Amino acid sequence: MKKYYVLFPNHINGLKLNEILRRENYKATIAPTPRELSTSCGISLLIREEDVENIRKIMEREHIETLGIASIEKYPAL
Amino acid sequence: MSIMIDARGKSCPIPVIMAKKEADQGGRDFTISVDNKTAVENLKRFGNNGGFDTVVVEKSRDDFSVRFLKSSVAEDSAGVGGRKETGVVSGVKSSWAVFIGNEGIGNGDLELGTTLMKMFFFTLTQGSDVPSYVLFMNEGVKVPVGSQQAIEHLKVLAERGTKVLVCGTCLNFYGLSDSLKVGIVSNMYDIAEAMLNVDKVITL
Repeated sequence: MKKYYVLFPNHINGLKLNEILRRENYKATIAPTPRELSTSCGISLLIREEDVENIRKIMEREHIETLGIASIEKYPAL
Repeated sequence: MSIMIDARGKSCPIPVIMAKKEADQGGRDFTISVDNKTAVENLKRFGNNGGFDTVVVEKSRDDFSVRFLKSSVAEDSAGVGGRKETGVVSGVKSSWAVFIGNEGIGNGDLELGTTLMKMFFFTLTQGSDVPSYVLFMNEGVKVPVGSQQAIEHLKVLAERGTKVLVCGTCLNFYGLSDSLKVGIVSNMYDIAEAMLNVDKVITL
């Protein structure tokens, strides 16, 4: 299964985007950044594949600072 | 540390050939940078067919990185679910409970503490070893009442067999008796008994 994470330079931007997505009825889960992506205990938002493009636009519109959107695919697929 | 390979500006089969070369040399953790989505898809397919986990980061529209992780490396860094040993000498999993006495994890900033609480329960749902009990007391009862995300994760844990016990006296004290979203309204007898029944109790 493929998972999409929005990564942030700090938790303030993460919580800000989470709040906006909640308001606009997007599903987002606050999650610890997976160890494959970062060694620090950062916050990231787990989002749905079908929302990736819209959320990318929201991030631009709201000037949210991110480190990008990462997708992780596990082998074998879980 | 992942080995970095720059394949930006290289046309079609070259990035995959570079990945194959690295894999053939026994590479188990390496990252290839490319500048287009097609290359990303090809690399992912190559990686997944060859038993690698792949992680794609899109830094911008023409800057991508694809990390290849061979399973043992992936397992080492996969988190709760990927842990190989339970740390219990006998090999028998020990039973455990989590005690939550605050709305957030630890002392300090409440916004940070409540965020950590959400991430903690998310992490528990991702693992194979769920606690026998999650016990909420004092301000901790605000979590199964008001933290929408934590409530979702607690429901998942409950479906997998975790008993969520919430202190009734505490709900009453904070005027939240009618607002509990997940778990069983409980009492000191049940909560103390749960603590004595498990091998370890983790307090956050």
